Parts: sequence; structure tokens; C-alpha cells
Amino acid sequence: METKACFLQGLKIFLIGLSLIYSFIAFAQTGDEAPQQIQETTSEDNLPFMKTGLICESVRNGHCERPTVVLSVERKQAFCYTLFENITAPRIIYHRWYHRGELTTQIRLRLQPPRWATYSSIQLREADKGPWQVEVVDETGRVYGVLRFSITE
Amino acid sequence: MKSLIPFLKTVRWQDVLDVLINSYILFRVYILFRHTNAFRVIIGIGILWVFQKIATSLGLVITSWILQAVIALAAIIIIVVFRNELRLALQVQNLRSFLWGGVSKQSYTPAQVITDTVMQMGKKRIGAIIVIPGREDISELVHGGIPWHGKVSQEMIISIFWPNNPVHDGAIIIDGDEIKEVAVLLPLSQRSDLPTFYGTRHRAALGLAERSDALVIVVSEERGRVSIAKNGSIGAVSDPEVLHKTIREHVNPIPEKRTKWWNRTNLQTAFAALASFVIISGAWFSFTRSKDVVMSVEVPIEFLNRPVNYEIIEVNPPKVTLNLAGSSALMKSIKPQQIEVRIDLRKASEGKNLIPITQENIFIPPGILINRVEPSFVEVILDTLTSKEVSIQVDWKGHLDDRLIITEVKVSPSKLIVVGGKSILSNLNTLYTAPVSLEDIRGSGSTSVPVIIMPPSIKLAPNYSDRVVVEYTVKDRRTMEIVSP
Repeated sequence: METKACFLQGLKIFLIGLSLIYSFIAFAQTGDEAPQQIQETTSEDNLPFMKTGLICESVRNGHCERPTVVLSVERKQAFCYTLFENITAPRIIYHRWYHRGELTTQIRLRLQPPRWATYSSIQLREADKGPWQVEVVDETGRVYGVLRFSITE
Repeated sequence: MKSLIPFLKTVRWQDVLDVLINSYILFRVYILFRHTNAFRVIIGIGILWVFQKIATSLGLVITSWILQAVIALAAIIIIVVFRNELRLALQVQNLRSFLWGGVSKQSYTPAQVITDTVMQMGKKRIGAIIVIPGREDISELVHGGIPWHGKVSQEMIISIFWPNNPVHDGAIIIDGDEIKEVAVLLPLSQRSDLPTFYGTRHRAALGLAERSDALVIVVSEERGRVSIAKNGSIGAVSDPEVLHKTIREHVNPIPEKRTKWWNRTNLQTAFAALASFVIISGAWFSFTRSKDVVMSVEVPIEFLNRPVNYEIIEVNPPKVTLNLAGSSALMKSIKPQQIEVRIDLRKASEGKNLIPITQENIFIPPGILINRVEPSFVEVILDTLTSKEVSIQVDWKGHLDDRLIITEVKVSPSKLIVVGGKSILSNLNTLYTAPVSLEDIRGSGSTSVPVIIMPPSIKLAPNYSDRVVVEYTVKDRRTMEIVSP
């Protein structure tokens, strides 16, 4: 009985700690405005809007490194970085990666109020060369923006 | 018997008519030309043709080539040499006689007068030579004649051949009841086996009989004997009845009294009719039923009765491959425009229609069979036309210098309006430019590139150019800041 109470207490502490760490990361990921590659946002009062959307060569420590529109397949990885503002409640968004208009992958991401930056990435292969789009949508299908880039040799 | 019934079911009424018409044409050609030299030459050419085909199948190149040349030459020779015979055969009084009647002399030759005269001249030892032409033209064989144009009578003939008469040498030609020419010179026979008592008259009579179907009557001046030369042979006739019958059968002026229907002539005609039918049926069979050649043809699909509200947005595939079989003669003569695949869109609806391609959709010349159709279905997308604004994206190609990075691209105009089927456009959001090479990029700049309009069923709205300007910003990778939003 005592062991069980002890376990529940430990779990509670662990969850509180985890939420604190998560909040810290979210805070670290938000900051000054980055150069905008494409900015297609909604500005309705009660809805979040995408302030920044970038395709980057890498994301390190919550920072988009070398935003670009042309990525060599030699880079092995492509990142889609998005920054949202005006978030009133936790919300799910998706990064939908399209290669020549064909959906190849869809990555589910969580937004936390009031401002949140998040990213997704894909591994690059030889067959991935060509034009790409990343469509940023929420669960209702609302499109926040479309980022366009190319994978080249 | 079991295989005969399914075969008969495949025979169309057009096939039966086809065989009957051509059998009758062949039969009529035989009837019109049967007793002429031209007909014999035609038969000879036919035999040569058979030999030529055999030589070709055996791979005898030179023999086949020579025979082919001979056949071609012979065909020309027939027309030139036998032009008079051909004219005679085709010169008919009316359509009925052309289609049904036989070729016969229309004039009356007084056989009895000739018989009596000849017999009397024999008794009186008056030498004579009388030519009664058959169906063949002899004008090329004889020469030196003097036009006479006198009515045939005993007195007239005797007076012509009366000794010391200026025209008594040579032959007379009787055409109908008219003495057409006198003092005619005939070609002499070269035969060496003739009796010694045969003089020049007999040789001349035989010479013409060898070269034509004419009947030549000779009266010997020395012996008073009457001889008949016909079909390359000559012989004495002592009985006036026999002479009369021979002349009558030769000129055939009055229809013979009807004898039994199975007489020789009728049997010959019936056999010719049957042979014509068998030959044409055989030809039809080899042309239409033989499947010795197989051929694949690609045929574009035609669409009929498209509903007025819809446009054909896409056809997949636009062509079908037909695997056809038939005789080589038919397959060689086939033309692309004779093969059609037509699909009726009356019952088609909006969106994707999967339509089977059946025998009913395929139109090919008779006698050719369809082995296979690939594919057996065609996908037709019907849709209402609409327009949509789509984004333009640059399709970069090649490798950018590793020291550089393209940070921004602007496309002007960034969007274009396209027109196409509603369902196609619902899934279309982006059009791409033609590939733009990265190899030559050393710094920021711009370029003009065409936009690739895909799928082909869509098109740009009027007044829109298919070219866009691409402006790109290039930075040096080493001096580039890390973005920290």
C-alpha cells in the first residue's frame, strides 16, 4: 500500500517536471522574428496565425539554420520550420509534405499558447529530387501556409 | 457436319451476293470469249501465272521474274493482237444480250446455196476456194483481196471462179449472205505430211484453218473433189448432206431445233457455270477465311454522341492496339482509314467512365478477323469545364555551387488561371516551370521560363502568357547568419 502511494507520488513529480521542461523548450524555440521565406497566415482574432514558415538546412537548438528554397539531396535532410502566434489553447497542426503534388508524408505537431515554434523534417533520397511543397494545416483542414522548395543534385 | 453449321453461320448475305456476282461475271467472260484465240491465250497466261506462283514459292528467283515479265507482256499482247476479237465479243446489241445472250452471228449464210454450188463446181472441175470466217478476225491473216459485196448465189460464185475470169485466182470470203472479197490470198500451210495431190489451194485452205477458226471449202480443179479445212485439219467431203451440215453448224444462222436439254453444249455451259462458281468460291475462301497473316495496328479511338454538357477531359489510352488476322492479299490492301474504333458516349456520365471495347465498336474491312484488342477497356473522363487559379513553382535542376544558397524566389506572375475539367482542377494547385538550371548561377538574378501545362487536358485561360519571370536571391553560405526566430 505504501509502495503504491510512493509510486503515485513519484509519477506526479515526474509529470510536473516534464511539463516544466516542455515549457522551457517552447520558450527557447520562440524568440525574435526570423527572415521570412514564405508567410501565408490567417489573421482572424481567435485563431493562431503562422508568423514564419521556412525551409531550412537544419534546425539546431530551436533555431532554423540557413533558410533556403533549393536543397541539395546531399544534405540528407530537409526541415520545415513554422512559428505561430496568437495561440489561445493547445492545438494540433500538420506539416504535409508533397512531392510534385503527391502527398508523401504528414507530420502531426502540437502548438502551445501563446506563441510556439515547431518543425518537422524528412530524410532525403535520390528519388526525392524535384519540386516540393509543405502545406501547414490544422485539424479542421484550415491551411496556414504553403512553403515551396526544390530538392536538387 | 458439326463444323459446317458454325461456318455457315459466319457467312453473311453480302458474301453470298459477292460470290454469285463474281461467279456470273467469270461465267459471262467465258461465254463471250470461249471460242476465240484470245481465250486460249488467257488460259495460257493463267497457267503461266500458276507456274510463276510455284516458282516464287520454291524460291526460283530468275524463273519467277521471267514468268512475271512474260505474263505482263502477254496481257498487253492480248489487248493489241486480239483487239478485233475482243471488240466482237463485247459488241452486243443490248444489255440483255451482254448479260445473258451468247455470241452468235447475226447474219444468215445460205448454207444450202453454197453446198449446191460447190458440188456443182466439183462435177464441172471448176477450182474454187471459199472462206467462211468463224468468230475470229482473219483480216490480219489474209491479204490482196478485192472488195466485192455481192449477194451469194450459185451463179455469182461459179462466175467468180470461172476459168480465165480475172478474179478466179485466190479465195472468196463469204460474210453472211454476202461475198465480201474476192481474189484473196491466204497463208500457206507449212506441213510436210500432206498428200502429194494437194495443190496450192489445199495448202492455202489448211494454212488459214491452222491459224483461225474459219471454215475453208476447196474444190479441186484436177479431181473435182470437195474438201473442207477447219481447225487445222483438211479432209474430202463427198456427201452434200455432210457439207451442208458442216457449213450450217459453222455459221449457226438459225437456232437449232431443240434437242434434249442435256446435249453437249448445255452440259459444257453448265460445267462452265459450276467451274466459275467453284473458282470464285475458292478465291473468296482464300481471301476472307485464310488467316495466314497476323498484324497489329494502333487505332485512335473516335467518340460519338458526346453529351452536350460535358467535355472529354481525358482518354486513357487514346489509341487501342488491334491484333488482326487475314489473308495476305487482304492484309496488304488494308488502309489505315479502313480501320476504325468508335465509342458511343450517349450513356456516359460525368467523371470517369470505363467503357469496354467490343466487336461492335470496331469497324474493319470484311474478311479480316480480330484476334485481340488491347486494352479491352478505355477510360474516358467527362467533365464540365471550369477555371482555377494555380500557383507557379520553379523546377530547379542541377547542382548549386556549394558556397551559395538561394534564400528567396519570386515568380511573376505567381499565379495563372487555367481552364479544364472540374474534377481535374480540383486536385491541381501548382504548375511547374520548365527546368531551370542551377549550374550557371553565381549570384542573384532573374530569368524568364515557360510554364509546363500539365495534364495536357487543361489549358491556360485566354490572355495569359505561358512564360513567367523568376527572380532569385543568392547569398554566400559563409556569411549567412543563423536565423533564430
